[in-house]
Amino acid sequence: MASYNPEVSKHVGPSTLHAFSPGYEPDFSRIAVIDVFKGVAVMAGLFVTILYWGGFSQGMQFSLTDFPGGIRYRSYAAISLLLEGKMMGLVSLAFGAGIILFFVRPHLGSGLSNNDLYVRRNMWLILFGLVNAFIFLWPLDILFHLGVMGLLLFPFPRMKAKWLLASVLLVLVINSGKYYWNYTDDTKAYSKYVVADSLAKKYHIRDSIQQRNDSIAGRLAKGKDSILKAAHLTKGNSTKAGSLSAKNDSTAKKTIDTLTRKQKKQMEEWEGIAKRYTWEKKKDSAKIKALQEVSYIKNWEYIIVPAKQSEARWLYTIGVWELASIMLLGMWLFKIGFFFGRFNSSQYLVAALAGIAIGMLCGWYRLHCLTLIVDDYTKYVQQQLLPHTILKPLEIACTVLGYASLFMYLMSSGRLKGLCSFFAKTGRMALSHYLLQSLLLSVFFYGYGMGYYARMGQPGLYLVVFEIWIIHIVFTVFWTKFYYLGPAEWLLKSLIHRKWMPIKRIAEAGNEKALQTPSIVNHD
Amino acid sequence: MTNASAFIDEGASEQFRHETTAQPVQKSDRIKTIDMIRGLALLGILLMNIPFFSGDGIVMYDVMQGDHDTWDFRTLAVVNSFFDSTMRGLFSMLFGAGMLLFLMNKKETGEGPGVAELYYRRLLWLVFFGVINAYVLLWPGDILYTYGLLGMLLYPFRNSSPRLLVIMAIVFSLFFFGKSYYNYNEQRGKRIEYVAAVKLEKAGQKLTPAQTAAKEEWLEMEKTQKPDREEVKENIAEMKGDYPGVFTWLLPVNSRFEAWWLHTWASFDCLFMMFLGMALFKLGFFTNKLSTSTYALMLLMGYGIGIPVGWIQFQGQLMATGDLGAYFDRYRISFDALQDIRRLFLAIGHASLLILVYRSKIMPWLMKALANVGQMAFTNYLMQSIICTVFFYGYGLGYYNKFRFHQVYYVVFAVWIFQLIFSSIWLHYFRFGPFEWVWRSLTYWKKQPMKISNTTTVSGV
Repeated sequence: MASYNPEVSKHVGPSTLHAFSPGYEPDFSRIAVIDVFKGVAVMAGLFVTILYWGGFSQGMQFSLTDFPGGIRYRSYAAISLLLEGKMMGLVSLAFGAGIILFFVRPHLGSGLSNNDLYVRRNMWLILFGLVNAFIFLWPLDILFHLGVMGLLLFPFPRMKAKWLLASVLLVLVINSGKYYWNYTDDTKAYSKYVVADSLAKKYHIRDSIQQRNDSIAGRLAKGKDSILKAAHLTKGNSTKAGSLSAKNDSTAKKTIDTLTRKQKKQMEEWEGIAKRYTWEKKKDSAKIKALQEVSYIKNWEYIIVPAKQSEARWLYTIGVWELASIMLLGMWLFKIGFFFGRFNSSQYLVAALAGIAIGMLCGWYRLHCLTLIVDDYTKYVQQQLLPHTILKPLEIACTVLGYASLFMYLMSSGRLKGLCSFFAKTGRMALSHYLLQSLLLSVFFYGYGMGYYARMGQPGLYLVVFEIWIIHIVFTVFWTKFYYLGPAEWLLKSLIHRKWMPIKRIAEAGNEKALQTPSIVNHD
Repeated sequence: MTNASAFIDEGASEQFRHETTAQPVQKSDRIKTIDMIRGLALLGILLMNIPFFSGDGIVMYDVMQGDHDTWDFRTLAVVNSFFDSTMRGLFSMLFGAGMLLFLMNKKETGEGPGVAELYYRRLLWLVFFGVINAYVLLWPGDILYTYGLLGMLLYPFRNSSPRLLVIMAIVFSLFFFGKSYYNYNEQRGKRIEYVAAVKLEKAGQKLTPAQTAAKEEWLEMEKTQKPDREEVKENIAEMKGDYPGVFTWLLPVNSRFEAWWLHTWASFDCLFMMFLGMALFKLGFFTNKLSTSTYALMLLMGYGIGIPVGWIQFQGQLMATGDLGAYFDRYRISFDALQDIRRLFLAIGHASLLILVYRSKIMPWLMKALANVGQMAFTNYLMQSIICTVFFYGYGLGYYNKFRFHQVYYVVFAVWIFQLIFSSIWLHYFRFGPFEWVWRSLTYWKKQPMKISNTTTVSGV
């Protein structure tokens, strides 16, 4: 099935694509690299999410920076540099490329058009995501986001490669801009705080002087009244009071003796922001209590809050840009033939090294700034013009591009063949693996199950990752022996086509054929 | 909160118009009734939006709390029980119907973008216009954003049977009910704990820390339920500021609304009506296909059930605003549970009434004018934002929070008359409304012809 045959190409809807870059024939059989991305991401990504799963809170993560030389911080930083955001990025890259792949590949089965199948797939993904978030209780679910993004990006596959690239750059800039914008909110809040704070101090000093003077005056008068008056700064005793208040305009003093409500609010606002990067143990303990409770309902009541936060707020403010940038990058790479070996292996290697190097550099900057922030956010806001996240979009894009090139290099040079094919197999059933992870960890950590939430330290949690990996490996190896679709992929496909799809591998002779049947769809 | 737009089919109805030469007259009638109902809904939406354009929510609160024998209160009672969210409902219905029209009447040519792609492009631009309406025209009640996103979920249902569509509508309605029940119950739980704690206290028992906390929680909640006069003052002052000031003030409001409303409520609220609209369209309700007696029956049922239910719900609202505690003590289920029933019946009542009037040929000029408004609904919706923000906000004429409650409805009447006349004049010379033209050109990524040529006589509708 090197290039698609006319028999199946009639299933390709009319809204297919502009031609690929000139002088270059796509070879869909090598598209396995997209599966590799998904396989790697679903397994390695666990290193990032496990801290959230296991109740190793954001605050605790921040507190790791107190000992930057320690092994705990180093492993945290390594994971942050190599994996955080990048595994999600790798999934997005595969998803973006998969969108175009979906339209160029014929889908046999139910006679529905590609457009229909595509929309249905994304809508079912949204539903799978809701189940994952609200029933399996995984608040940081990504299936919902992928489904939504899939619908939003529907009009893009036909876009010309250069416009796709332009969109990638635009979205990256917007994303960085949003981070910067959010940071300026903080700096503005801080400058308001400074004004209010200096006023408050002034009042405080004056009030204490005044109170002292009043009490002197009071003692002199030895009357009940004046003592009372000393407590409330009335106009009457202020005339009696010391030289400082006499200098002030009496009417002005009366109105600005205390901060206005607005100023108080401004002070509180900044105090809240400054706390954002500290370890709020109280908040953590409330969460721990809720999630250790031996009741699914209690756990659920707590989990739905961050789950909604992720699906509504995060997706709206950051997610849509972060995901779109990498998905569009995936589309662009697909169009220029990146995934079909358009370049030779040494070119891929150079791209890999360059991408990862730039990514690491940006990541180092981010972590460096994060250390400063955790140390003292007020100082950071005073001194720094840019937020630590300013380069994050670039960091993710470069690293993901680097990883993609690395796998293309491995595939095209034939190195680590066994490993790659294992990841490809895993990636082909990434959805099943992903949901399996949620199920296992939900039962393992939450109170309704085994209740290990917040009862394990950082090393213990990493150990859990390796344990889960063993399950992934066994699952991949055995399942693919008998079935050519993962269970969740099969369910998704059946739902999309509205009929039960074949899942079993056909006996020996048909085996290879079944694997290569064009109807194998890259789900997610 | 607000709304608009079933404009999605403007292109499709245009096509129908071109077909009128070859098709029976009935076809143009079909479209005309849809445009008419959409025009009615569009104008009606301003009834619900105007209080939020014109001033702080406190105005409504004070009217509810104040003397009931005033024009302010009478206006509020009529608007709330008779129109509240029914116009949005009608609009959502027509959005669903319009989506079917758009998808049904385009032929796949095999060249260029397909119908599905055009559909999604169109919606993506709608989302974009929604963002502009909220953040640039500064109307936080924008609905285009929500419609654009939710419309993307309707595509696979274009060939579904009316039965499936009704089932989908019921599913979303049940979700809506379940969610509001859950929320109500959660709040009511706090009230129950509070009442129990107070009872214990009266009996002279000492409260446990948990009971004290529960008591305080309720008191806090009751307090936040009441409007904060200081905040109101601040809001009014900010809304009377210059453009950058109002922009900054509404920024968090807009982003909170777009991020949260869709996820928590709008998806149920709007999808319920969109699916019903699709079903009713397929059954021929909007396209003037049913018999006069059927419409009469639907009018009777719609208003007969809708009006009393609306009145009851309004009474519930009054009580909840007055004394929330007593409300919780008395009702196991919130009156909001009646919301979908009320909206559905009233919306059907409004639409049936309009079709009956159309059939009786009583006021053909008005029907025609309404159809014109409906045909350029997208323009008119955005125009409402422009007119009202410029009229009320500080950077314009600055009438924010200046009028009594019933007085803002004079503004509504003025806008209505303006839009009825403007739409008719505009459509005399052009094929679509100005914003429709922009939207259409963006969707097809090609400048669209706008002027009415002499060969196709499409004047008006």
